[in-house]
Amino acid sequence: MTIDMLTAYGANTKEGLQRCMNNDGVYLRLVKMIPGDGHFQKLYDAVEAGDLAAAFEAAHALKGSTGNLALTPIFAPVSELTELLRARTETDYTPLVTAIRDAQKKLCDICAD
Amino acid sequence: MSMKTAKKSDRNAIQNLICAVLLICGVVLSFVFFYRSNVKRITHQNETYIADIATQRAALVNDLFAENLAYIESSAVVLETAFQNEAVDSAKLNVEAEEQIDPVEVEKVGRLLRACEERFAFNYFRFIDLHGRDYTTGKTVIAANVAEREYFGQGISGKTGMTYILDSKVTSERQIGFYSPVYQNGEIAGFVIGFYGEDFINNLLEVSVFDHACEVLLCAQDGTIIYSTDKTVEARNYLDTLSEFSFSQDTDERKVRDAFAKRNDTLFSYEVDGQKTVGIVSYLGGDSDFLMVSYFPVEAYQSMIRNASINGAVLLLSLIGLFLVAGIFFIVRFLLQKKKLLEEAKNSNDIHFAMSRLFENFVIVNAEKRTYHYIEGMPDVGHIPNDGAYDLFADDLLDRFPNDAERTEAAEQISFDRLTRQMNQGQNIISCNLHAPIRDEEWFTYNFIVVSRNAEGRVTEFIIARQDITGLQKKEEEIRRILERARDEAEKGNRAKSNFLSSMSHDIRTPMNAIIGYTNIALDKIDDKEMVRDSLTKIVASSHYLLSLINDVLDMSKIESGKIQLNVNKCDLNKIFERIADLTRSQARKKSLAVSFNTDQVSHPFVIADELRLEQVLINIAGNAVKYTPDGGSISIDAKEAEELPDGKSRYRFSVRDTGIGMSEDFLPHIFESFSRETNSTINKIQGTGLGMAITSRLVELMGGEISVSSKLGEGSEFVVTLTLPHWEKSTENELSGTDEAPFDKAALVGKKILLVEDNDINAEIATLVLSDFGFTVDRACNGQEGVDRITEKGSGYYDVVLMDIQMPVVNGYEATKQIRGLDTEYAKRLPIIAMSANAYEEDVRESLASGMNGHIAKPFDPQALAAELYRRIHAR
Repeated sequence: MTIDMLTAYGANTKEGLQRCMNNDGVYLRLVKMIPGDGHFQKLYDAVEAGDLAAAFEAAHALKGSTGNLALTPIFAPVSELTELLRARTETDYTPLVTAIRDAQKKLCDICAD
Repeated sequence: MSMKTAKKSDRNAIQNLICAVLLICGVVLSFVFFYRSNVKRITHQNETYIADIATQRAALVNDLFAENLAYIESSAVVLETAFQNEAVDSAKLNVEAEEQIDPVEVEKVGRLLRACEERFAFNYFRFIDLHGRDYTTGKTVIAANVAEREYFGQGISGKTGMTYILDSKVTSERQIGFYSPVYQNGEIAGFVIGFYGEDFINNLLEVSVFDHACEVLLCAQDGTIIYSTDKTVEARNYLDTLSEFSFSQDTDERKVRDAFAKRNDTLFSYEVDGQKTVGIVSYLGGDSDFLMVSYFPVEAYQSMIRNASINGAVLLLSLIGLFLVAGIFFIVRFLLQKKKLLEEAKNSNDIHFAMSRLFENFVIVNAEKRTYHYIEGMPDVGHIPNDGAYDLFADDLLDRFPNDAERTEAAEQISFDRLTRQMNQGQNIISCNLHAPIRDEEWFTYNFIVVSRNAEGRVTEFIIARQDITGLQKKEEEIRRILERARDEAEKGNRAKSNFLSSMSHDIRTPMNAIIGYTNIALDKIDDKEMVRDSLTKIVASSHYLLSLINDVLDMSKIESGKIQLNVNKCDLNKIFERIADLTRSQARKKSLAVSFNTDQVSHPFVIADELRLEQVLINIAGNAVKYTPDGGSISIDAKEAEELPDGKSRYRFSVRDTGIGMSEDFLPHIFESFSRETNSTINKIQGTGLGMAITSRLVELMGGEISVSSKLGEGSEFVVTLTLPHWEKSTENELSGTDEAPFDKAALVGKKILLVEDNDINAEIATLVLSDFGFTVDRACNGQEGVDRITEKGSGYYDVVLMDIQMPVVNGYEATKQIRGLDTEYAKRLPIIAMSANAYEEDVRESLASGMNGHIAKPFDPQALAAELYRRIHAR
């Protein structure tokens, strides 16, 4: 995995690197930790179960970490989801969840490289 | 001389005691015996005394009586003459009827009697006529008629004699009388009788011994008591009273009766009220019919005994007293002596004990008999007895030596003749050290000490005391070894130095020669531009080499003398690596070597280190790799942060691997030594000072790191350097900063302690990165509860500020803050807590402030803004 690949993925690597004190090693290492984050599964399960409170917590956590690393493809839908869940909005979250899943998968592939 | 003497003293004491007791018994028995014999003696003495007195007195009395008999006879004659002179007609007196007596004659008799009585000693002088008429000196001349009296018959029959009256008709007293016939015209006209009264008799008998009056009785032979000086005696007959007497012996009564019967003297003893005394019966003697009984006064008798006894008792007590005093004196002296002996014994025991701690055994040798005796300690088990001939002892000891040379030496040292000779010459102590295998390999000091000498000064006894000095000996050997090693090291050092100097001078000379040579060539061929250029190029090369050599040498000497000081500064490892990479690549290109460079595992590239020297180390190693790798080989350089340590440090690991010629196993240990270069043909062709690795390793040591090498001849080598370096803050250039923030002093944040309470690992890591960069020391708590715990755990004043995430499991940020504010310390109430939240809505800000938070910052945060906020919070209070 390289910075370029992440940039191609859609991450704002410049911002991300800045947050990591411009240390490629740190940044890339932290990014590698994202796909395996347990909160993704927690989110999916909670949404499935209709437990909006738990889903909010999971989404909120993901928003924080992906936001720090400027992983926009995940960050954007997660962020939106978080606000909806904060308000405990009853709606169909499937589109957002799908988007998140896709972005997660894609990042996972890149990290495996 | 220890317990034995004490026991003996005890036995002596008992003996003494027994003697004392026996002596006292003896004395007491003697006293008893003495007392008895005293009594006997006194009795005898008193008997003798009373006997003497009584006998004398009896004789006296007897004489007196005899005198008086004579006296009355002459009185009778006197009266006769007086009758004649006065022409008294006795016929006229001796008429039958009293009425018919011529009163004139009676009156004449009366007158004559009076005149005689005055002149005579008799108390009473009487004339008794033939009819018993008693003519007295009284007014009525004829006082009584004594015809029935015994003496009447005697008197008118013309006898002269003595009589006694127990109750006088006239005076009712006891009297003794002496009578003698009076003649007229050749016929008995009557008799005169002179009486003595009680006083006279009393005076006669009275006697006292030792101021006590004796009781004396005058008795008739039939026992009639004529007179007793003891007026209380009522009995008439003495012999009748005998049965009431408590005679001391049964025979005494018999003796008394016999004495009366046979007219003898006898002594007898009896008791009065239990008290003994003596008495004597004395016959007056001659024809007397009288006996005297004298009693030795009981009081006198008893007091004599008493006195004697008292004297005896006093003597005895004095003796006993003296004896006791003497006894006590001896006992006390004995005890003192014993105490002293015990003290001495204890002292000697103490010394003995102390000696036995120091010396293992004591053998005393009798020099005259040539024998030994073990006083203390055991002879080493089983070999020799406690006593024996000296040679036995010596041989046993010598037998243990396995080594002939040592045995001979030992034999010499312990030789009896040699020792005694030296002692006789005056030496009192002889010592020698022997390596005697008594138990194991051991060293002993044998001391031969003279104990006693005879009158000529020759030794009679000496002690052998053995001290185990194995410990000391071993220490000595150890010290010797250490010294030898030090000396060897010093010598090696010296040799190294000389080698160094000679190598160095050789190495210096070579390029020097080249420089001189090529300079000359250049001067010679000054016009040959090519030649000159070539020479100059070579001169430059040699100069460089020479310079590097000299630099190396200077470095080495500086390092060796400890004059190196690291110049630590903030540096960027990445930049260093870049430089090294560049250098190595350029060098490697000349030899077509492949260089790979990997430094991406360094998360903290900003460290505080001596940049120059670190580079030097890495360049040296990398340079060697290039030098010793033949064309076509490869070099790989890796740098990684092996371990992050607390307190803002990390351990960094640099490794340089090459596929070069490698080093042999024999050489490897010496690689870091000065001037050590492997000697083989390949090395010899490669230029080198042999100091490079020495310097490198010293520098690594100086930086507190480690350097190691592994290599296989022909395959390649790997050098690994590990260093622990502290991190360093670096403020990031901030393009995103909202520059309306007031500038703050970044340095003020360095070293401050911050508690980061964040559950998300990724966020936490990023936050820590930023905070560390600002110089904070970051502690992480994973949730609100942990945060509170950490604060209470670390105590007041530890954390300068808290960065608190809101959304956390277990205990969230608001809750945690409330708990912290609830802690009962001033510190907890004033500790700045800044909220971190993804939610920046105004309500949330309000809620943060409500729970006690001081500030609020949104996530993802802007580092500058964060720093500014933190600074503001820290310095606001």
